[in-house]
Amino acid sequence: MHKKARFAGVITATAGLLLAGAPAFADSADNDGINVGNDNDVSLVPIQLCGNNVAVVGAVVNILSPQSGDCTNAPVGDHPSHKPDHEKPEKPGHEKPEKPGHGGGCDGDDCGGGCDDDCGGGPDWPGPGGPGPGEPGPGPAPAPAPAPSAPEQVSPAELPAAPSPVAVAGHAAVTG
Amino acid sequence: MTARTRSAPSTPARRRALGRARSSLLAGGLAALLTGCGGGALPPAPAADHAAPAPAGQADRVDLTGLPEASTFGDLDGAAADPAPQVGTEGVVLRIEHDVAVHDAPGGTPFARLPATQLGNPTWVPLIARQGGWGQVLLPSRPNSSTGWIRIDGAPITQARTPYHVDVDVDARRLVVWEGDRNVGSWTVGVGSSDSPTPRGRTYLMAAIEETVTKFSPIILPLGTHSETFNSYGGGPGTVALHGWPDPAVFGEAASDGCVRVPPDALRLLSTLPLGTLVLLH
Repeated sequence: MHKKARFAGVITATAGLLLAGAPAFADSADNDGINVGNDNDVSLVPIQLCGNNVAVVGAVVNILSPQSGDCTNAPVGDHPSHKPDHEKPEKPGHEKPEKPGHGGGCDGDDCGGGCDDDCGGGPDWPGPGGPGPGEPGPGPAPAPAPAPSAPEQVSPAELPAAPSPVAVAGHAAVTG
Repeated sequence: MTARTRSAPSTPARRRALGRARSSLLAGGLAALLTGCGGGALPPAPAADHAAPAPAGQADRVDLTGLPEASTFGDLDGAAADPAPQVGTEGVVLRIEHDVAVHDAPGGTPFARLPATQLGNPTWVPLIARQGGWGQVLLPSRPNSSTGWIRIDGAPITQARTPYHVDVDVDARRLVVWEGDRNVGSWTVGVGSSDSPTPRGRTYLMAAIEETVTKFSPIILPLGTHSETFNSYGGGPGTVALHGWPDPAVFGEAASDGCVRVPPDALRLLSTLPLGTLVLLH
């Protein structure tokens, strides 16, 4: 009985550990906690698993809007300048000017996405397959996915017009 | 009667050790079973996907960790120079929806990460060449005229077109906005002084900033190029921009620290041009 109780305990503990390790969900680039394509005016985005994460995949087709909905009016504080206008901007001496330092790697609302341009494989994503080897199949295996073909190149004239920008409130430290 | 009972008699310590071993085996077996039912990660991509350059239609599986950022603050020593710095394009611009890897050639080695935003604006870059599912784009980093290749097909990238381009004759101190073959506006502008010249080459409108700190221009349009005199300026990396100026006397003069100073009506028009629009400084 002692042994049965111990085995039961092992089973329970193992199941608990596995349930606790649920897959993480990657946030999308706008870092608002929502994974499905949003903040675009209209986005048609298929979603599929990417490793451990759920991520946005495929081409995002933007219905043209006058302004890009991805802009946020977060202030740009990369390198705030406190130099009054009448002051002569900094200039180097005879020595070579030093290389710039980074004021921070974060550009604003998108502080990295963690996911590269491949968030899923589109046509090459291994979808659900048929029975594995050695297993009795329930029926004929489904037809294999068609081999991915090179997408047709769209003529520039057929592309939608790029939107006018929405200026972001903030500071741009430019040479003046 | 179990097999263990039928085995040779054992000490209590040995029985405890055997029991622990059996429990571990049982736990491992359960874990493998549950993971296989979909409770864990998908199987990794086949090694071949990582070994050979990705063909058209395949995903660009690159680990972006550790890659330098292709932004105005970046310095990309491995970037190829613009092969045609005074040539126009077809106006195709690419919106980078998620950070993407930048490669030194189609299917080549990644050397940078192009982020989805630049100075708080969505990243739009001009396409200057295309090869299959790959596109060569201008980058906003140092050195000036940096380019790189990114995957276009099967990637989170939106393609669009801008009919405009901006032509700045630095010596003549003249700026012209073109819509296709149509001149939609031309102005006399201020350019960089002899000590701090406006850099020449092919660049683009990188961002649109409604300035909240400095007062010389309500809107500043940073370009994807930098001063070749200053490595840093006002706390920034020496980014060159199109912007206004309160004193009209500067228009027609070579007196700036690198930026192109434009009259108010020029700034109004320039502020409406899509990001990624080509700016030819010659």
